Amino acid sequence: MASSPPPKRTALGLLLFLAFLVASAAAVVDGALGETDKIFSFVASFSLLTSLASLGWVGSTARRGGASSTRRSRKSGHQELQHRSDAVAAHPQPGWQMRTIAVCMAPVARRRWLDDIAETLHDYDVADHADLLRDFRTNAFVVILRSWTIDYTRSGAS
Amino acid sequence: MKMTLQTQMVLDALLRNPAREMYGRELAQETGLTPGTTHLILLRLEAEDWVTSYKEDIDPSAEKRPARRYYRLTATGTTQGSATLATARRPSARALRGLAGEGGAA
Repeated sequence: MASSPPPKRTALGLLLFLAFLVASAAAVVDGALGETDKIFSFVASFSLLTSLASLGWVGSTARRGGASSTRRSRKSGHQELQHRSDAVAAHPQPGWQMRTIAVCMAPVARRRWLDDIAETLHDYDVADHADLLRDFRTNAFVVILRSWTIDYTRSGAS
Repeated sequence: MKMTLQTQMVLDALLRNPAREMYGRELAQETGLTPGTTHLILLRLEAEDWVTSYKEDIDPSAEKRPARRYYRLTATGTTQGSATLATARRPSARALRGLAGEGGAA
């Protein structure tokens, strides 16, 4: 379980999250999302990702997601839930934190990034998952920028 | 195209057998890089049309594993990749081992 982030980091996270809200509000009030969508996407992506990282919300692994499913099934004792938790254990999926990061990516890269994470989680030992997910998170911001660059280039070419 | 050492390592792995299709873990093992790093490099190479990829068509529940994405070099990638690697500044084997150990970002 990830420990609580220190107060300074929490403050920074909240500040950046506030920046995300302001950027979102400004874009909506401006009413010119069509013209400023690239800038908005960049500012929003950066603010949201950084604030989530600062708050430590992106720090846990998909393994935790699997464990919580197991706990849920134990509580209810429902066979279907047990079956689902077994499926999650057999095919570990990216947790909601990774999916949140993926939302910031251009559609061209979003699904692929999540698929690659699922493939990696299956191919590597559970003991390596935390390090592998950290590596994906480390590269996530560049993937976000790269994916929007590719998207922009392709839309410009067509 | 900007040619980082990690990109050279991925290209080098693919160029060893250009017809061979490789999936994430194979590439990571061949290069010594982490999957998160190779993902980013492959995304860029594919955008430049140096690499092509496809997701295999399987039933994940029957195969008991998620579908893999396979990568291979295109004709452009083979030609230009070879030329680029031939002229690229070659890092020492020691430096490559160090990079592989770190699994650093692209």
